Amino acid sequence: MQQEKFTVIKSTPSFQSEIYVTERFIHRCVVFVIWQKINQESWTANLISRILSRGTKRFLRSYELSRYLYSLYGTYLDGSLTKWGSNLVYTVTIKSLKPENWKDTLIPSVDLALEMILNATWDHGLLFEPYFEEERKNMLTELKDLKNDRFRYAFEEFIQWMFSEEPFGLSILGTEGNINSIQNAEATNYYANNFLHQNRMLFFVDGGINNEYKNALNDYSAFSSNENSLNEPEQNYVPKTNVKRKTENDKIQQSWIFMGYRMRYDFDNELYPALLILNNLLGGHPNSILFRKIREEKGLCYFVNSSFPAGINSLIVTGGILWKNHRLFERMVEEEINYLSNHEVASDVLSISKDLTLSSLESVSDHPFQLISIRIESLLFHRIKNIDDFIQKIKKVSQLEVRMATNLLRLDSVYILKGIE
Amino acid sequence: MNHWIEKIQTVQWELDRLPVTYLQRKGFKGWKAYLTCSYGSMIRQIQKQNQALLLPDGSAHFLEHRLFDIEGTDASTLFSKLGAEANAYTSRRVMGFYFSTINHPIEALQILNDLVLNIRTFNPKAIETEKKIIESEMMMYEDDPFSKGYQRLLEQLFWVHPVRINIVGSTISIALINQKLLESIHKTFFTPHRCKLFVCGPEDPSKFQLDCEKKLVCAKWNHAELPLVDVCYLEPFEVKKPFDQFSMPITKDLLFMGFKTKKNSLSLRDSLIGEMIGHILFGSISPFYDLLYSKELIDDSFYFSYDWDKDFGVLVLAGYTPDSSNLRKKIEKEIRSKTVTGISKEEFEIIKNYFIGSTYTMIDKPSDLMMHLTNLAWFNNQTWDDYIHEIKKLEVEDINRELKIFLDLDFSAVTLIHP
Repeated sequence: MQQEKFTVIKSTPSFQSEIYVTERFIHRCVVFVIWQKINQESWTANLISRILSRGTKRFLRSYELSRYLYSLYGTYLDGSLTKWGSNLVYTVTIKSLKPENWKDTLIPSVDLALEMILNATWDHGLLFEPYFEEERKNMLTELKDLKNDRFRYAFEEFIQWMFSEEPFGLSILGTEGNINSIQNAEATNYYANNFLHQNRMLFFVDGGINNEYKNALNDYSAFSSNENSLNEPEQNYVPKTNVKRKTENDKIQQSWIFMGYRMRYDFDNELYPALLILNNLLGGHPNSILFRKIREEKGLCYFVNSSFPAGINSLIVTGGILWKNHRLFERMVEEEINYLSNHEVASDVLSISKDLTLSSLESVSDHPFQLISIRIESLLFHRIKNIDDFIQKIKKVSQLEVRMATNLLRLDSVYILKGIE
Repeated sequence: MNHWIEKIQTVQWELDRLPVTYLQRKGFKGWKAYLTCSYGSMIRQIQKQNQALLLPDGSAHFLEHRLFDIEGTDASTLFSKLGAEANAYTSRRVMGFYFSTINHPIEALQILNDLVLNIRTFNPKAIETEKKIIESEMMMYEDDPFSKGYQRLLEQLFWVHPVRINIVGSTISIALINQKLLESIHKTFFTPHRCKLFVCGPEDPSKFQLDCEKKLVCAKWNHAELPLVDVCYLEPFEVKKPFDQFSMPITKDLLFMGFKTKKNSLSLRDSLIGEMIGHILFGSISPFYDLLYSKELIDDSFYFSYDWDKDFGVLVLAGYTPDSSNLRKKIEKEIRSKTVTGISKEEFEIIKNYFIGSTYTMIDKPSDLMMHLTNLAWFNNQTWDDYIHEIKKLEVEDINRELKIFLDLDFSAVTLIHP
């Protein structure tokens, strides 16, 4: 059986299109990627992405676009904007079923996505005015209403505060002043510079496809832009010695605590596999150290986990707690991390975390979108260059490497959204 | 579409009275298994010494948490040692336990079966610790306006039906839970013939069945044959409280509208009609939704859902709004208009295509597929084929004939949360 893998259809310094051929899935997944460095204007990208998702010249109202997608057996088409370290990544994803005649759903939906991304300006040269106005107002609403989702609000506040001196800390929600003052001409200019002409576009396909389809994809590979590469190495941040603290009062019952750890680490670091394992064994699953000790043994909370967000040199521990327990929570987290810094993790604990991490890496091939996500990460950020090689690296992670990885962590910031209980 | 259907051929057999359904997914690496038991939050009584014993609210959810503790060992640890990830959920109708793994599926199945079906005892000290954890979980839901509003809406809509009971219970109700109670509940429901197992994996069905029969140990399974308390709830169509409001720390009004389905018993077809009506009238394909959105009366938080079981159905609309009174009026006007004009054939065909497509798409998402097959099985032993057949059989006239049964303003309630 031929090994399944991504193969390049077209590659220039500014553009890459790849295909992954398999008959395993009943649907296909196509992802267009555009990325840029985060800067003070990045909130405009959020506005643009919202406008693009609303409709196209063929579909002047959102419901018409939805009806068209529904009629293609529920083809999924969505655009989203994500912070990925110091990059802002805009992806448009299409998932469409593979009926007997694949052209029935795939080509029309790919056409639609291209129309959505590349053809959003009108005869007068501006973005569609009604969508511009509606989405500008909706962004203002989103900003004002952020607090209605307390977890998201607290997380946003924490990230902006902890990373206030880095691009990752810049909000893509903008400010009221920003959003109120923007004109359609400025937004259109931003669209032209940052969505159409200034960045490389990546184009991936996988799912139940064949060679005939490959030829059709070549037609879509014509769009590309300039030679500007944004793939610069991440800057290392030197952790401060003092821990920053911030507490914000709220009228909720439960408090949310975020503990941000910095790492002396660069992205080519050999310890990256060990850091993934560390995150997993610390708070990555229902048998992790924090879950077991803080939740199951002490009953201090229902929600506790740790995460290692893509593209930033940080590990974040999160908990939903009673305010009266916040010091105990913090102390217990610190004790566990200190312990792992000074002792080698038990071999069975390491083995469990390795097996879980391996299991999740191996299962990537069961999910078209995950296959593509890992590929994007590999091309943009070079952390997982090849999944098979990476699996081998995970298998080789030693107790000593986990200890070394833990020693990279320094508690940097503690943010609490304080509840009344 | 024949090749799609081939991908969901299932094989069924019984393992010591436990009904097993296996679905082979060729070319996939992962295994998924769902073991569900016919005990959910709506079951309120068990028989004890020939008498009906009323269970405290939240007992099912509490038991779900405690079942993971197998004689002092966390079942998550056992699963993790195999590289498997496991979790559980409690719904109104059933309690489910599931895992996903790449390797050692039979060993993981053994743990899953042991944790659900073995005769069990519960540690009193761990029960007390669990109360603190669940209180923390309750607080999380109490702080969430959508959870709290939805729960309040159900309490307004229903008089006696246990759908109105909060799945997690309350601090007062869970305080009543103890070791003996959990053991009695477990003995009553967690027996093979009151459970169903669904497994999905890459292996050939006959080999997998053989492995199960040869390797799985069922010696400690609970085979008690305790009677169930059969309760029929005489729930009127009229709602208990048409309007209620309360405040929470939010920035603008959050409106909930709920419509009771005027039927005493529901079929699979009814559930499809309820969901289709929601999509056509209030989903993103609806010009009405588009209008509300462009006028800023709703935002991305607006949603609809159709919640149902054999003896109740409720269509819910909810979302933040700057003008709840205006939004409510507009929704009421739209419902009055649509129940007269009906839904067009074009709209119906679009939604039918969508339902067929999204159902088949589940084949690539084994977790969704297992959950879907499980839910169908618990609903009068329905299957995937039944489900697809029902979708294809529906016509626009069926929807229009029943619009008033699913969307009657006289049998609706409103919950308003204001800042």
